[in-house]
Amino acid sequence: MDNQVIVYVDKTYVRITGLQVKGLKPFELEHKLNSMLQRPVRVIGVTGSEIEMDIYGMEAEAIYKDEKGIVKAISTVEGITAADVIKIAQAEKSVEVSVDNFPKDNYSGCARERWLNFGK
Amino acid sequence: MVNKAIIIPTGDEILNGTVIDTNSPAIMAMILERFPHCEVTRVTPLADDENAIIKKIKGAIEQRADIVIIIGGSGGGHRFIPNASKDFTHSAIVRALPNCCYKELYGKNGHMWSKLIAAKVDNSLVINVPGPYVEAVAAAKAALDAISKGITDPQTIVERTSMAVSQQYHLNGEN
Repeated sequence: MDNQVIVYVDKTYVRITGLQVKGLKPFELEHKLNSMLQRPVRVIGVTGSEIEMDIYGMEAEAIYKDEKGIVKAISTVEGITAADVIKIAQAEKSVEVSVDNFPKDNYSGCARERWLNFGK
Repeated sequence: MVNKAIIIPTGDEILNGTVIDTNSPAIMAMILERFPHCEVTRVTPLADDENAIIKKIKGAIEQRADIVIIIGGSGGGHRFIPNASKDFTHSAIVRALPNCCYKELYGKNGHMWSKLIAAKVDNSLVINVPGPYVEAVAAAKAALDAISKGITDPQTIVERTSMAVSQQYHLNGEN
């Protein structure tokens, strides 16, 4: 049985700091940024002072370049207020690594082929 | 027939109100659309604590819930982004239900994005869904669609939920 699947997507992990978060509905933030960036956004972690998200199909450099617009959009979402200077503390593109580095299971085939064929 | 369902949201941010739990009401609505007579309970959110999650899962099984849906904490791994949020739910489910079926979705960076699990224990079918809203709804819908057709085999359920979640990931940033 194959319990591991490699999912090919192109996304950048982004961490925003300088916030006070209380009563956030993550899908509202996703919708706001999606409308602004024209890219899918997924909130993946929230604390009282920072938000982590994935932005699909956008390079880290482009995200930093658009920091002002992103911060402005975030500031208008209900449940988020500025506690400090809101900024992008981290934007990191998913880095491709050798399939040899994936956790091993009882699968003997080609992991890359398995990813390409997933869902077909 | 699904007469009793228990929804278990997890995460410190849900428990302390930093994030409003919009997943549980959406999943509850989907359950009621398919099983109008079902008694659905959304329990108090759990902190990111393995032992607390295990205790709650076992309690739900003892209550003979037909479906137990655990929300959030399905990702993690910290292999390439060490300061990303840490998830405990999937490891708690595996500890509580060692004979479960699962499917792990990995990004090409080797980071585990989601581990979808299903297990049948006594009367109860236990499944998990990821925390992000669209993924939670997609996974729950896939599972409930299968259950409403009489499918309760955990391996089939986990195939459906993992496929549904993977379809929410976007290739080349396309909406």
